[in-house]
Amino acid sequence: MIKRLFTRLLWSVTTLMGTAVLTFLLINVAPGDVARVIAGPKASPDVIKAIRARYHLDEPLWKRLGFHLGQLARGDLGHSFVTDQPVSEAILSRLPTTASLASLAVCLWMFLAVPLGVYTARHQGTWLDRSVLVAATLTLSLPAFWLARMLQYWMSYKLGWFPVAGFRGFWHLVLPALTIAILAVGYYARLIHTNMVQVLDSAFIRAARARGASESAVLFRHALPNALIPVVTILGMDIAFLLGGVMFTENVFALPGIGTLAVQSVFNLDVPVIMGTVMFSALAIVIVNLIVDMLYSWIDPRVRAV
Amino acid sequence: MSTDTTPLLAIRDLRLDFVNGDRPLRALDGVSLTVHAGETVCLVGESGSGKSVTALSITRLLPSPPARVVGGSILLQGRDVLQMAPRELRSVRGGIVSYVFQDPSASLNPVIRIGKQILETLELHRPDAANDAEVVQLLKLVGIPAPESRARDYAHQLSGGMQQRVMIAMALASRPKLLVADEPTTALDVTIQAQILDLLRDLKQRTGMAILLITHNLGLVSEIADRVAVMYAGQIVEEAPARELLARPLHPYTRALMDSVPELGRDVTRLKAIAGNVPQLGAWPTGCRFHPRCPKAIAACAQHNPELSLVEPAGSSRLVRCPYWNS
Repeated sequence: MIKRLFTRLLWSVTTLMGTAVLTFLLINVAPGDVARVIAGPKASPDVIKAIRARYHLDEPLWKRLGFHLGQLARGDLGHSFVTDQPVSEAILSRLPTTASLASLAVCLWMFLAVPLGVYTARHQGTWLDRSVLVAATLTLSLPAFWLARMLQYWMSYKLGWFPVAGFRGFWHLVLPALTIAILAVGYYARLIHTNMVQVLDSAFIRAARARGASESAVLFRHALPNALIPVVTILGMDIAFLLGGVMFTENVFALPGIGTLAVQSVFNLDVPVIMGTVMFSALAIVIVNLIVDMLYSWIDPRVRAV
Repeated sequence: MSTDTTPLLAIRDLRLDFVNGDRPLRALDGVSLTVHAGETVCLVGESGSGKSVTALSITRLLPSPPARVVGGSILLQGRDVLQMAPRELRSVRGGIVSYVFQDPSASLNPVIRIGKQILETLELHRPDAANDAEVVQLLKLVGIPAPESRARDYAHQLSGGMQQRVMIAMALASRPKLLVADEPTTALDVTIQAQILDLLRDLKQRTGMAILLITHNLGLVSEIADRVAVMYAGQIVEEAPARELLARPLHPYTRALMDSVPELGRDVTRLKAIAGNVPQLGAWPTGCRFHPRCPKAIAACAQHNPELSLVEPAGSSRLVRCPYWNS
């Protein structure tokens, strides 16, 4: 157990290092003069030169990479070019918004997907089973920005049920969370459906029925926990992605989350913030993966023994 | 064997189809089988002969669709299983009839501790005894060492033999009248097979329950059975007290089956097998179903399927589905 945790940690650090190097290189090969962006279009060459010197932009690439990595190792993400706010502070101040949006979305879609998946697995070939399949395919291919705009137009602007945009409380989160949930629920319902169908076919389910277990005990006590084991991995990945910021949805609803921060920073060519948000996404994925890994040995006793 | 009381299990002329698309495939064609209280009956046959289907039908465990009973009756203590409402059926499953299946490692839920799984059966059928002490008692009964700590194990932490013992403990938890053991030793090592068989025989003696043992292994018959029914292509072709059947098999199929069991100590250069294959579901030959593989078949055998009838001269309870058994 300790050994596995250690190797996993080593892998996590390697992943983060790789991400740091890659984002650094990508931003540096991308077109656009950072110093000119910071100084503004009318700045004199002297000012630009001074800025270059201040942010070490005149140093060779490998030296700056080393400097960047050293900074990261100390947990320092630098300061925003635009606001001069420490990047870590900017991210952390927006984390609660993104985290609440992500949790609400996950709760919404799992709350719908589990019963749908179980029911359609139990009643294969019924109209509901087929409708869920069609709906899943449909929602899976919907573009997020379109769905977000549609919901916003109809449910907020036309019907007035929800606030249109901004973030001043729970109700502001409902529509954005609904957007994300609608995009995910079909996929998860089908995923649970497939796993349930497979598990319901196994010998231990027949054995449970042969003992006289009720249908609900068979479904929810014997089958569902087994069917959810593979779902945990994928759910973990999705939660990590959500924590990294939901770019389109947050932007459409003007939620001050990590997604909007990331998009803004790209428009502003605010390099430290861009790199900071990317690093934060990577960190979220690494941490959630670690948690999922540990969780696995808790929910699946067969993993514990290995 | 007393026959004046209501038998524990009486299957009468059971016919069952598997519906595949719109073409129903007949899997059981007029199966009749009786098990009296405390009796051990062996149902013998090759794979695909319908013996497992018969076993599962007893408590309607076959998913429907595709399975569909088209005729006959299954009387359990005089009550027709085919007419039972779901709730009554559930009280019968595991209550009066318990099952032990072929593959114990797949028959135990991998994410629930075995003690908890046994407890579930107790809660369903003997709620007043649903406690840890009774679970330990049951594990002890089936010969599991250190039952207190084993109860907290998961299935994968036990060997195949131990897993089957757990399955048997679970089956016994409700004190059933009938234990249906569907190839209980097939997935186990030979030495473990003998242990499990010994255990079943011992438990039967102690509890007085009846056992219906499904097997393709005639060797088990002499070990445990009071009576034997031999199945072929969805029908019972011979039924007799175990000793009589082993001493003198009457149906050509039973004889062929017994000839194909290698005997210890005899110099065998080549195993005897029955020529041809078990006919596929839905592709049963006309006339006697065994005639294409039967060494004694005559032209009439292809014409009509003989009835399962009493062997006259012996005056005993022997039944055989071959009019030429005497020739």
